[in-house]
Amino acid sequence: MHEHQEPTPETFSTPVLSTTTATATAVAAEAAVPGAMLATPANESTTAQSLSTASQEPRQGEPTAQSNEIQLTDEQILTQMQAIKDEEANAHPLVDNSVDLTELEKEYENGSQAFKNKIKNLSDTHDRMRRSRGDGNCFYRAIAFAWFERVMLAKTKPELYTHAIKAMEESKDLLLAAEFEPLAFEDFYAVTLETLESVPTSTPEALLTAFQTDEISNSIVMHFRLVASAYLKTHQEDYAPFLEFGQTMDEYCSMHVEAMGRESEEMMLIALTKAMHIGIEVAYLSGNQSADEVNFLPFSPDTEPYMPPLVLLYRPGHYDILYRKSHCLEGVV
Amino acid sequence: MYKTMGATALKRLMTEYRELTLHAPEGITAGPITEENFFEWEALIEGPQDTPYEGGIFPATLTFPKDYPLSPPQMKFTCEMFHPNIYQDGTVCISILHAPGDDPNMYESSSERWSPVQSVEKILLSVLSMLAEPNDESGANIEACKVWRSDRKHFDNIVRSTVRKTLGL
Repeated sequence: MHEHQEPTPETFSTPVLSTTTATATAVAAEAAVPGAMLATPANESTTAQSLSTASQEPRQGEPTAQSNEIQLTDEQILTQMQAIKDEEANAHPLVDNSVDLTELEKEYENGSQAFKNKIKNLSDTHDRMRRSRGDGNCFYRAIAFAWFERVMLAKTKPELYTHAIKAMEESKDLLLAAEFEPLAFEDFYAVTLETLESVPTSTPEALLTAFQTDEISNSIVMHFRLVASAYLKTHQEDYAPFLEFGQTMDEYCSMHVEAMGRESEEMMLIALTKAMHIGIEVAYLSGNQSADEVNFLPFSPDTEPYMPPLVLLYRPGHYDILYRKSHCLEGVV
Repeated sequence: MYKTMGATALKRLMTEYRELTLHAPEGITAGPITEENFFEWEALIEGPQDTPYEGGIFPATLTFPKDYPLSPPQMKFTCEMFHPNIYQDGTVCISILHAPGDDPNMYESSSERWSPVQSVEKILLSVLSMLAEPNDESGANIEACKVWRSDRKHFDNIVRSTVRKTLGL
């Protein structure tokens, strides 16, 4: 949720904070979102917060002054949050067209020299990027799209498609091994597999359209989430030591991995490299003054990878897809 | 390859309905109100034994979003309910109906949350245990919270009178 695309931080950060206070800030957030509809009149149901300040009940019919704390019900707050998310959704496709790396440079035109130097050096080896929507799912969507795209563009290497299908089928076995009920994953798996199976006869444009279609794109994200979760659950001995004291792996996965919109952490990234047998390189772009190079963090599977590492551009809180010059992507605009 | 909006949700809801019809857990009946619209369900919940809700049969509606099960349904009792975790308009307020991050009531971090791994059956089972064991830490009906905390006998009496109303007595 706190994950947002770099160029538009103001659309997300302030309203999200307001939801915990449920006061004038939330009203201001509503004002900022013209489409926000209130689900129920403000006095229809009562929240714990509003009762604790019952003496300040809003008077009906009076104009809302900034200082007057209006109490909102939970449902109203959630409706407003949804409206804010929808606004973000309309502003960016789930996966965007790829763009030249000069577009990234433009974002930092007025930024620090550290960013500029890093992007310039990055552009020696990488020439394009593709944005993934900042909706909390950007990591999963970016990695899934990059993976599908590789399979798509490797038509001259049919063995890569065979490997991908095998990895997909194995991912289902992993979900069963993690004791997920078929009901919980079968629809997402079916959509993901169907999309993969269509790759040999499809086009890069159709693949992008599929990833821009909520239902297909989110099903694929969900499949990758469940696979990451299943890997962590079936390898608890390796990963449980990284959890907060007292938290079980099941709790961690249900809170942070299995629900849409929950941001990824390094553990999920490692889990996906191992479960899908793919390497991932993360290009970490930060404002760190002491370096002129983007820091590349490599993550490798335990097995022999069947494709060169997928490359992600990471800026704190957000992932996009990055392309090496050698992986030139003609035809995928 | 292209799916119409709600196709995944519809498929999942039909599967869940079939499962619930074949293996309904004790005390729960649920299904679409009409077969023309799988996104609106009615559920009947029997009051758990050894609670003041015992003997009652409580109707509720479940409204599913088009992106179910990525997002949770909303659940609302359509009869009068006096319970700390049920709003006066009948809306049920428990953690399983909220995804992690949607946190208006500050649920405990370990409490069960919505994700596609959950299901209608799991929601209804959670509601059954909610009837048996209210959680006064995340109250929706503050009056019910207060009475439940301070005067259990009075609480039980109010609930029993709503049970009688539900049964039309």
